[in-house]
Amino acid sequence: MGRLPRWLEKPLFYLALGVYAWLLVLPLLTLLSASFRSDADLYAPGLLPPRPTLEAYQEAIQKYPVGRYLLNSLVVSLSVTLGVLLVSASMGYALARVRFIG
Amino acid sequence: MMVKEQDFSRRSSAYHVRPGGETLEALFLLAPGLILLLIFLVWPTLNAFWLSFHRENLLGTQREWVGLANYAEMLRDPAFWRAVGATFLFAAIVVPVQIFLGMVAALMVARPFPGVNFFRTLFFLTTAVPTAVAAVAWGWFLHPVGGLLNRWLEAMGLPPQPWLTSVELALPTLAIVTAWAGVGFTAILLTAGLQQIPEDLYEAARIDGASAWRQFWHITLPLLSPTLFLVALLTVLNSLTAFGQIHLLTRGGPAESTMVWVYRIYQDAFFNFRFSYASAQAVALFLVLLLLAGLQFRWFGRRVHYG
Repeated sequence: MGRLPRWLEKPLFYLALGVYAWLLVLPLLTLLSASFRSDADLYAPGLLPPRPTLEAYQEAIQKYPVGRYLLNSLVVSLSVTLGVLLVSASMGYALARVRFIG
Repeated sequence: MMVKEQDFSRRSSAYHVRPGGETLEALFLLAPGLILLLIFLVWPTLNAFWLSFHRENLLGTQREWVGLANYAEMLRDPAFWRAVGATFLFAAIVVPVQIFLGMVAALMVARPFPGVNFFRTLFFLTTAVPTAVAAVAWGWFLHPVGGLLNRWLEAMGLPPQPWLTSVELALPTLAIVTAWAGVGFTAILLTAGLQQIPEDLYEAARIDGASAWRQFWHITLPLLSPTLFLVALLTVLNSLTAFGQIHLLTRGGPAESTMVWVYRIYQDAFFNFRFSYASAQAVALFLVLLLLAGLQFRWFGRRVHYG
């Protein structure tokens, strides 16, 4: 296997990296693209939305209490984080530092 | 017990205390965690175990001890064995695909270069997005009519495929989705493992004229083996218990082709309302997972190279 010229190594590496990363996030990109499409354009071919629009976001905000959902997520994640921190810290300390039978 | 404790405290004189002298304090500190574990883990598990030896009416108000009847029924149930087969086929696809994809990603971003954090973030995105989002994204990507993948196949002159709606394709497709969702996690662990390998080993190898391929086989792989072992263990267990993506994308269909063990349990418990039968299958799955983890430790745990 012949070696590549040095000046080619870097661009080729970035190319391979870019293609690989692009393929991995492709399903997420299609989701992103769909979110900027109007209902009429939903099945239009291509990765990029033919006529980008914020309609879907508008509809989501108007139809659903998105703020409430965000608050719900916030309450759950904050309380879980705090709870886990407290309980795990005390358990971790006990298991690692305190001598006890058993 | 006492002897062991004394030995221990003699070695670490900094913490030298009366053996067992801090037991009360330790219990106090452990209590919150232990109580939570007992309520939410140990008790339901024991309950399911207990339930698996019973038969009950639909409402769960009456129970009758039937011994191993549920297990006997399970072993005679062709639907159960189909689910077991599907589960192992599923895992047999997920594990190599996920480790390979994660390995490629990790090899690319283990060493720093301009823009490395951008690519690390992209790779981790596959794991960071919630299962629900990933399922919607893949459902759309693989959509029989509007999906990008089929559009491309058509553009290349190939017939579009019913990825999630054909009996043959649905399970492998779900396995790929599952592997994809694990790539970010695998890549992170492997990246950390790769960064532990000292750079001078590669330098020495280069001076000796070893090709990149040989460096990979003789330096990277052996020194990465502890990490690979951990990744393999976690991937096997994870793929055998996959549920979310299956529930969201195929619900065990079409024609039960993606009805894996865990989904079978879910169906029997919450659709057929046979909680005790489902419990028996869950206990069996637990035993299999335990056995597999044990076997992995026995076979590979010792061969792993801890540098």
